[in-house]
Amino acid sequence: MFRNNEILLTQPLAATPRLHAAPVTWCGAEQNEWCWAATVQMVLKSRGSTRSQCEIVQTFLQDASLDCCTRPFRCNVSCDSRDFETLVCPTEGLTVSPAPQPQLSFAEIQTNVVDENKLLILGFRRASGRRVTGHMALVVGVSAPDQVMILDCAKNNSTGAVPRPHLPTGYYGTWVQTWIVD
Amino acid sequence: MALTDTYEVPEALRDDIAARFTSLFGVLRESRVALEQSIAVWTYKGEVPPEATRIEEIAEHTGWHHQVRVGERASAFARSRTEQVVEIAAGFMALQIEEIVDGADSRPEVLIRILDVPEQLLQAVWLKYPDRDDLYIVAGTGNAMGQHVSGAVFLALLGREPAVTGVEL
Repeated sequence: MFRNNEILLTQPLAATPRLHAAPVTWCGAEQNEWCWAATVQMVLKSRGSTRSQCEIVQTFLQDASLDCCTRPFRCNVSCDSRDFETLVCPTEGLTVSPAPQPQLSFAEIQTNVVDENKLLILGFRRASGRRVTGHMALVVGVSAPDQVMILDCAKNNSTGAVPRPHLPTGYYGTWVQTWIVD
Repeated sequence: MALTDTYEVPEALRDDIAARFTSLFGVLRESRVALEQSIAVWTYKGEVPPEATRIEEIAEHTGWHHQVRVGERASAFARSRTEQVVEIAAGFMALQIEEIVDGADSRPEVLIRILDVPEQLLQAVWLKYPDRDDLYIVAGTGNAMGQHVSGAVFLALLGREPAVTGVEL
């Protein structure tokens, strides 16, 4: 505990996060609409792929004339959740399935990520004035007592954790979707 | 010395930050881990009124950012809202914030805050001067990170740029 603002070490402390078996490293979204591509890149990277975000987007857009890797700003597009699930992920060799209930419990998250070694992609929706925005983040582990370890492509190379009770409405808008990556 | 909004971190919150921090990252016995300054987090309200000239007019106070020092550097942080921890993290962002705060230390007229703009996936250290604002982007996408912009330019950009759609859910 912090005493006089310093942590008082009363017992041997060891990190106790329980992580997905394959190390997952953070990737920042290279264009502001590319959280979906950055999230896919993080998953692919954990499996040894060197696929870039612009290649993922180029394949999704199916228009070679756009030349997304040379002029990425021309390909700065969002992705519909259905396209993400049925087009982007399968094309990139990822099998994803929506969780029956998007807002998984802490135990369910732990079972999927730690026990069954699956990654979870969370989808958030946020009302902003007259617009609705969306965002994705990748769950890579859990930590006591209720912390969900998240890699977020907009969080500047930080490893973070969010208490599970805070996830439904307090992370980025409302947690509305969870995809389980096999 | 630059100022932050005054906040005495409640003991229960301090304990919760410490417990969560050690659970997630562990603490080496030889490390000195300390809770540093708390900085007010303001969140963008979603629109820029045409008459807005200051950042304070487009955002509201929503919580606190707590820098956590491990050894000699602030390499981690916690965020809280209504005395509950809502996020902890370690990495580059805490170091960047420390550098900016240190750089502002010789300016006693500056009030330091964090500005969160979820609609643009941006977070910035906001230096609030009596007559102007400065913003240093510490988290974001693409080329946004590391940029330093004046409050006036930021307001103009924010008013012009559509919110990031990202994924349509």
